[in-house]
Amino acid sequence: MTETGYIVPDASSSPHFIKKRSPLLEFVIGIWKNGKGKVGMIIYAVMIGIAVFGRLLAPYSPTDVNFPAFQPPSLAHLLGTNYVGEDVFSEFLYGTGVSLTVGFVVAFATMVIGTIAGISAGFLGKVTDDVIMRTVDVLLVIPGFPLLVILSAYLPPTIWSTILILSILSWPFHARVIRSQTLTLKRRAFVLASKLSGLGNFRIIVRDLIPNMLPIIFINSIFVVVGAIVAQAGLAFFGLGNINSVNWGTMLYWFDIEDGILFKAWWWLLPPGLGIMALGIGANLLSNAVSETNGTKRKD
Amino acid sequence: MITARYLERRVIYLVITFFIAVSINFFLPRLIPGNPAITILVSRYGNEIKPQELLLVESELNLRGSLLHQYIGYMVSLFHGYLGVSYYYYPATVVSIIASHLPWTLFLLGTATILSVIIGVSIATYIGWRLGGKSDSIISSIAISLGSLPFFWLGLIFQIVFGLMIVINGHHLFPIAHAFSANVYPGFTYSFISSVLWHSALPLITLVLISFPGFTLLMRNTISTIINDDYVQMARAKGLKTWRIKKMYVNRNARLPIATSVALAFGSIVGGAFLVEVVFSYPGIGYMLYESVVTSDFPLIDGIFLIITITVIIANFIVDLLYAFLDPRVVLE
Amino acid sequence: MTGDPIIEVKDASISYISRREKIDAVRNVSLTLEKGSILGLVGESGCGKSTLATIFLKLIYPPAHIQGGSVYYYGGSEKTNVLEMKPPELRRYRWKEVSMIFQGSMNSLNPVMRISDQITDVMIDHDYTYMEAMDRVDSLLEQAGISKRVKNLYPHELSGGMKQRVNIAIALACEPKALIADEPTTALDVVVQSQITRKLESLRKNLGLSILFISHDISLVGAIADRISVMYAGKIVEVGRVSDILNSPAHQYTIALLASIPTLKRVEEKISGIPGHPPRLNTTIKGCAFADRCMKVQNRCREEEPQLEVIEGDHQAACFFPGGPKR
Repeated sequence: MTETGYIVPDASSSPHFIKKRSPLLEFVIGIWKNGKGKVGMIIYAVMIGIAVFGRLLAPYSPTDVNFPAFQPPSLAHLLGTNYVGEDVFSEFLYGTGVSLTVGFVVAFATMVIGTIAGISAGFLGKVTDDVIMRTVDVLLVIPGFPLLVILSAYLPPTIWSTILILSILSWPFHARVIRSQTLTLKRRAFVLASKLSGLGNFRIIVRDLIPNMLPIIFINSIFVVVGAIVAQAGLAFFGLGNINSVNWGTMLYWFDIEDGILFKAWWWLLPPGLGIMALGIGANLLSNAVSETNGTKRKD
Repeated sequence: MITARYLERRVIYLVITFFIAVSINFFLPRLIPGNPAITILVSRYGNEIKPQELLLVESELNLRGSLLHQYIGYMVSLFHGYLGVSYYYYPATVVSIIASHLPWTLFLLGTATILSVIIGVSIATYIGWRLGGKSDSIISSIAISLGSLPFFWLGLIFQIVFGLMIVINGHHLFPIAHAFSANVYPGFTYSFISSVLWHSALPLITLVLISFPGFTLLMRNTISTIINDDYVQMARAKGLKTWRIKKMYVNRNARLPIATSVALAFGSIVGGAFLVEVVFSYPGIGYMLYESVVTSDFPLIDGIFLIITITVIIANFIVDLLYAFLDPRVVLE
Repeated sequence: MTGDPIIEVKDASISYISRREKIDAVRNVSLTLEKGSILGLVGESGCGKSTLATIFLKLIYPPAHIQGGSVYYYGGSEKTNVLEMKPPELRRYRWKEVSMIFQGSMNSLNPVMRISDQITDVMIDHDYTYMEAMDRVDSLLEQAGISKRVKNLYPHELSGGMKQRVNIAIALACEPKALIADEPTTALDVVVQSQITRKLESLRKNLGLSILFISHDISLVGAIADRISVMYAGKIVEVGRVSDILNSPAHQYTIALLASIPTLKRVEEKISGIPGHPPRLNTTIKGCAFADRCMKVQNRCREEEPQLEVIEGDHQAACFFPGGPKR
């Protein structure tokens, strides 16, 4: 492998390079080169694009009720209209933003909290480890969805409540995974080498541990994105969260409440579900791409 | 191997988690601002609240006295199997409501899990031996797509398609709501049982369709890992008969991962079941939870939550024991 | 040693084929294992010996592919080509005629089966009755030099040395005529190494077992082998009687190999290694594969590929300028 960088000689065969390019960039490029990864990235790029630019692309405002209700798809209304005459296509474009925001914010929070917790537990050991892991265990034992429902019942019905609850429930799993990764990596020669050369803990963590954990952090995070979006949609469907917001979940809520079933308004039902499915497939593709390009480097 | 020590540790852990869960269940509702006693009285009788009534309702709800007093009271009544009285279904006790609805959920969960496991394992073993081949790619792609769908969404789709759109002989193919038809009485009669089965078809199909792919993929990866292990290579070298290799070398080593997968899959099936119940108005405790949240029926919410938590804790305990039983290498934590 | 072959490999070639590249791990290898003798196969990591080891029981699965050659087994009076055997015949041949001890005993045993079951299952599938199989377990364990009490244990309860002995017991279960021992002692400590090696030697003596002993350690092999084949970069570069190889090595690689072994006798000897590393086998190599590391390299070595030529009697080497100072 020709790399533009130096190879640090050490006792183990570790993928530990001091690269001239940041490991993050290498990581992203690696995924792009992989066929599956490319498709996954495109799916997400499109979705994010819709989320950000949806407003501009939407032909109408999603709350504009001047159109006839329950119209099947037509040229004027690409995805038809809903129970009150709003254009479904516009709803979808606007709604993507909210749904995706929930997904990514929760994933980000999970990643940050989970990684910090996991590394602290694994690296610092003993008391820190015990405390953090007991907390994780308790949070993991309690069944997710029912807890979600109940907490939503008690908290103010806004999107941010939802984001908060989802983050609280998502970080434990990630923390546990990071912790076991930390424990494994801790014993590897290159970490010991850094320790011996007198590097402070923080620098060891940043230089040695994190770059090698990027794949797993990424994979977990992408699934949290999808999971959070699905969970939020589920909650909205139940009528929890902010029912006045326009997002994929509320589209389905109104569909159920207003008997979209009876009107067989499949055009109203399909977009959110397909959107979620696309993200799910994209997540799987990306995670496969990541394990193919990175994970298998460490063959012991 | 299950040693006395292992069992001991697990039981202690069980009791502790129990305790914590129950305590959380006690504190959670008390964190909301406001006095639920007032909320109930106001919703029923308007703003004219007599002090005696307030006192009565508060005692009923275990809101009087110091926190410690309430806590002990709570624990005691829990011990007696008393979970309070529902607001919405007053005067039915929470326990009775849960008891009458739990069986439906268990029916769904049990059947869905068993079916998902059977289908998942069968498919996985089939492609496990044909990794990287055409059938593998096709099945894996389908699995990923199916598994990414939200439960309730698929449920709605099925309702439209099978419940309403497809009409045979003037009848819809599957019923789209409830556990059994209104004109049938519970009992071990053919008409009741067939009605139950018919009504459970769509919910079950929805659940299984989304659950089995995840399981299949997990199993497939497990089997592919095992097949590449040295001892399988040695089994081939030994000239063992193929069935023996499959049974004793591959499948036996897959038992532990299967148990793990089932445990994981079960968790997601539980979540899915709740959603599916709501969509199909299937009278399990998932549906009751939904209703109780919508009607702010706090005792019921608490009661259901407690039952769920306890069930999960027990389930985890059983799974832990199962682990030790299945794999001779598992001795301690 | 009767000089009659029991296994004969002729021009075997095995390659690893992936989308990106093709690695020729074994290139036109021929060797002969004589009845009742121990043939040592020596070479460094990556020379192809472990790949070659898989060919005797036709254990070659993608991405490895057999590119050519035959493996003749002399069972009874006739010889059959293992590589052309149909699956049922192959299954019966495996372990009953020729068995194997794998490298790295750590993982060769099934973690969820008891030891005795792993010994009897192969017997049962090779037409021993259940009673016969159960009876033989004790004597097999004894032959392998391990206590009978391991019968009911699981592999994770045994030490590395014990596991390897169990592997030996399993290897002997169906009374094979030949045994392929692929690095049987690597990853074990020196004391156990010597014990296992001695055990193999006694098996040859007591049972008339023909053994192919594969190792990177030429001194270990030299202790018990009758003949030695030296392998480098996928080819056999030298073959001959053990005394010839050790005392008058012909191929430059063999010479360098022997020179790099420190001995206890001559304390002040200079220890040398062999500079450079073996070639990557993903491209065809022009000339002799050892050329870049050879002390005596000439132009001819880079142009023509040397074939095995007779040095003396049954001692052959593939070198244009064989020989060096006698040890």
